[in-house]
Amino acid sequence: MNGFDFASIMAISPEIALLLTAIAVITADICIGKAGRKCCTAGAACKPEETASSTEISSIVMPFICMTGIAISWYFMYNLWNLHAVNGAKYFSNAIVVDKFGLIAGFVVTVAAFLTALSSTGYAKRMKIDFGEYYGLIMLASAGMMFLIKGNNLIMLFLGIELTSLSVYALTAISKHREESTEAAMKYFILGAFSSAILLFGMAFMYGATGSIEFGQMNAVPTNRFLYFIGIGMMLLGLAFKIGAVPFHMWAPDAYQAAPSAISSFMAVGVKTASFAALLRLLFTSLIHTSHMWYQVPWMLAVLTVLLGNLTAISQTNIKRMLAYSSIAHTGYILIGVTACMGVGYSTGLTAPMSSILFYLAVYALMNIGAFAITMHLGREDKDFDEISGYAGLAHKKPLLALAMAIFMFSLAGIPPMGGFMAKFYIFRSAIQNGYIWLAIIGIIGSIISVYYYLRIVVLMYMKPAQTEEQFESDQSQWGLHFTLFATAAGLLILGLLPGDFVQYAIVAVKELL
Amino acid sequence: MTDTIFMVFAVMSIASAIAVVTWRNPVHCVLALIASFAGVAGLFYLLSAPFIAVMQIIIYAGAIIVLFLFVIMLLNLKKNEMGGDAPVQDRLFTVFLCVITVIILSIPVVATFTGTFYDQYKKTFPKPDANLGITETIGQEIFSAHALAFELISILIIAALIGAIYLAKKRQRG
Repeated sequence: MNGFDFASIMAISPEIALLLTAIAVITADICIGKAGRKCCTAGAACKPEETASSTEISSIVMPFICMTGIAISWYFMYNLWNLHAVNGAKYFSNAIVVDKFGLIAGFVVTVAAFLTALSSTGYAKRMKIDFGEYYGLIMLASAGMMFLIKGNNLIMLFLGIELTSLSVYALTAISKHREESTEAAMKYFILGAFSSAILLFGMAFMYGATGSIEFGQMNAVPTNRFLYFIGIGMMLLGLAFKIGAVPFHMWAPDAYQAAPSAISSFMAVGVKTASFAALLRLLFTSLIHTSHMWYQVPWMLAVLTVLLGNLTAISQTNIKRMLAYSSIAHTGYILIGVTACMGVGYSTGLTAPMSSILFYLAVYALMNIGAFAITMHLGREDKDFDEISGYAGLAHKKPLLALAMAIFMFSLAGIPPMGGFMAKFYIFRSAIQNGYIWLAIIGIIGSIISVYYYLRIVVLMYMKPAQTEEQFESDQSQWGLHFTLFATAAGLLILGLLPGDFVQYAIVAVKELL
Repeated sequence: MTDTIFMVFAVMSIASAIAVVTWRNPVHCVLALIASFAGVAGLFYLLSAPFIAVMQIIIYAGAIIVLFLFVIMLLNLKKNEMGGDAPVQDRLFTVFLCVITVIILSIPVVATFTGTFYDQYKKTFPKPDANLGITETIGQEIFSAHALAFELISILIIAALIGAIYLAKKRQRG
């Protein structure tokens, strides 16, 4: 189907819902926020109570518009999931493919966006970033991620990555009054633009070697191996930057530390999920027949990423930086899953590792958003609560918050019965089944290293006295954050104790991709 | 005849590209970059891609270079603010990296157009249709086969605009 007929529009209806939400939320900011801003710029005629009420309204209304938009896109995704005739069908001259794999990955991304909007209700106002642009860019970024997941040719892949990245660069610098934010965003932007250029260069070589940009069509055996080889190399390099694999991870710690926590978690979860989904689609629909040319790349990246991410995380004193290195390490675990996909049991054994990657991404989304939400909850004024030593004695003052943090840390470390354990279990099991026992061992060594720095926070919270009395006081109402923490912690326990349902869905989804 | 024109454009683009990285005055560098882009545009034209050639002139030589010039002139750097010479080992390392990159990128190009690969290549990819690179064909492709990509680019530009305007303007709330 080529044109903009009804079926094609329905195929991208979740994305359209997100894009319209982006426009709506920016318009809403202009309409509602106007009164508050006008009387402030006028100066003398400023009525403080009027200003307060108008910003109060807009800081509640804007996240709600976002959440409504995401809920509508969930409805469309649910419709697409149930339309059996649609699944695996391609639209817009094969630029877009609708399958259950893409829908599950898209669901994870939109859940991350939903929780980001939800936790921003009080947070954005406190951080002085509750502008329409903040929510609009989150929506644009998630639409970009959805296109990235659904894209079925190199043009859509590149445009999805660029839409996501451009929005995320701007979101990193969203706290304009903080210099380190701007600096980190600038670094991220320059490195990111460079990696995008390399990715695009690789795509051009790929097109030259295979004569097609469509994912299913690029699998003719290339006549020109040199072009093909360099094309694959440059494309993998560009994608490795986006997922934050070592040695292309340098941007991550700075960007995660300097961005507001809500954005750090959205960046870590959304960009990673979407890029991994695109990477899997690219590798296993188009490049798998030439895997003898590139099979060393994923395992090398996996080993480096697991070891370096975990070892560097040990020495961090800032929890956001620590979570950034932990996010790098988790990229490594997922890369172990990617490597397992190319193991001995290629034709039969591909479903298990790929569904375990989807499961891992879902679990990682929950635990990462939860851990960052704690730093948002305890922060005061326009700061996040990011000193690790500051967590000493949290359990005595705020037992529930400490319990939630303990759940996230146990889950990140991969300790049963949390979701993180099942996720790692599935990944390592599929690696062993497909003949990568040594890789699974490296992954387990990495997990054991990670136990140290995750549990250090639990030890600090439960076994050390608080440094000062008023350390953990947070003055504003934070029901959005409370709900986020509850949802993520409960989700982790459910996925840890009853992983079967999600895994079944993931297996169905992956079978459709292949 | 074509060979002569090709040589002129090729030498023009490479020589001015070298000038861009070696000259000291940034305004001169940018002017050399225009010459380099013009040479590349000529090469595209010789490859029967007139549309890309014109785009190269309009977008790169026109819009982007003018932007570069504006930035350089707005910064208005004095001689001593432009930064001194990099240490010799740094410059040698840069040259080394450049040479490596050129070699890596040349291998596929050379391999494509010489020896047995060239024969295979000609078999797999017959000489493209002469109408392939003209504006009419590209326009029809953009608005039919790649209509969604075209729309997505406009969204991409909106995202970039929103981000840039947000970061550039002063606004405080509350």
